[in-house]
Amino acid sequence: MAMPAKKSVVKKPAKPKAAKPKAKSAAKAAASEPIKKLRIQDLERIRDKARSLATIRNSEGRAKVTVHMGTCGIAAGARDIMDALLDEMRKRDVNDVIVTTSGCAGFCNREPMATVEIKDQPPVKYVDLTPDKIRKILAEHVLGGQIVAKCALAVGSETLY
Amino acid sequence: MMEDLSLHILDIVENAVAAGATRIAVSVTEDERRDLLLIRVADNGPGMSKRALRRALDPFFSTKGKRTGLGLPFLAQAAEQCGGRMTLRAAPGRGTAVTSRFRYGHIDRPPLTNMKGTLLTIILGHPEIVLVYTHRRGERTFRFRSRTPPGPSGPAVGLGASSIAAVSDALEGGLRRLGRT
Repeated sequence: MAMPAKKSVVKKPAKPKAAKPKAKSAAKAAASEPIKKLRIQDLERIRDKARSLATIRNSEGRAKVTVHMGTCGIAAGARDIMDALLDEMRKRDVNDVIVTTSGCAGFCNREPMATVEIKDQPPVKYVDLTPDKIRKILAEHVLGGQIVAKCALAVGSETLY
Repeated sequence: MMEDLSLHILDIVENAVAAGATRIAVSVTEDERRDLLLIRVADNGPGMSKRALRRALDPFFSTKGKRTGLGLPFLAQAAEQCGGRMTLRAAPGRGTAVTSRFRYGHIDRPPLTNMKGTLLTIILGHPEIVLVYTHRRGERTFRFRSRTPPGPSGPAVGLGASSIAAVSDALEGGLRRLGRT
């Protein structure tokens, strides 16, 4: 009966000794990278920013075109797609389409990519774009309502062409 | 490495926007006499932790899931290949500044050609941010500041063909005066 009690007395102090240096290094790391506490004023600022952004993004546009601008997209020619899209919008005097950029969509080998969202319709992802293709997509899908199936990868998140 | 330095600038700015920056200052200095091309992108975003800063130049390192993690390593490689270097300054809550120095006349230096395309993409793709662009070439300087409408001066940035035309014309005029379009 006495043996297990002696063993436990010997083992117990050993564990905290080994754990102490780790706890100290973690505490040092946390101290070197302080987490900023949010104040009420910060929350108000975040709310105002989100509200102004939502006004810009949602109020006037009937459609939104997102050109994917990750490193992969940029290297594959996404800026030329954006240039062509803006040029075509300027030529056609389009005033109710929102154009924006986002990061990598996850299909780096199919870049340049763009996503077209029209109100009350599922988004359509277009892949392997060229300036001519994005001009066609603007004319036929964004302005005309007809999906350009040859260039489309998917509608929504499940239907594949 | 990308074919044009303006593509690197676009990539770094897109990273800053994705990280939550609302004000980004891009400055380009072309000094042929000192054989120097200096590109600096500074933002007011959340900055980087010490760990992220240590690993920022490691290829494929990213703090966000889907990103490729090659933007900064590409730029550093481009600078080093032509006798320059890239430096990174960042602290949590204090933004990030990326500075790249290139030897202006080095044969391997990528060209800086389509800054107009890069600036149009940033300004019209992100009307919610303020972009301050300063380009010095020799004795001449071009400055452009974007903002969301309404505002007292400069072309308004917003939706539509008129905004595209206003920003495009302002950039083209300014860059042409520098001999850059």
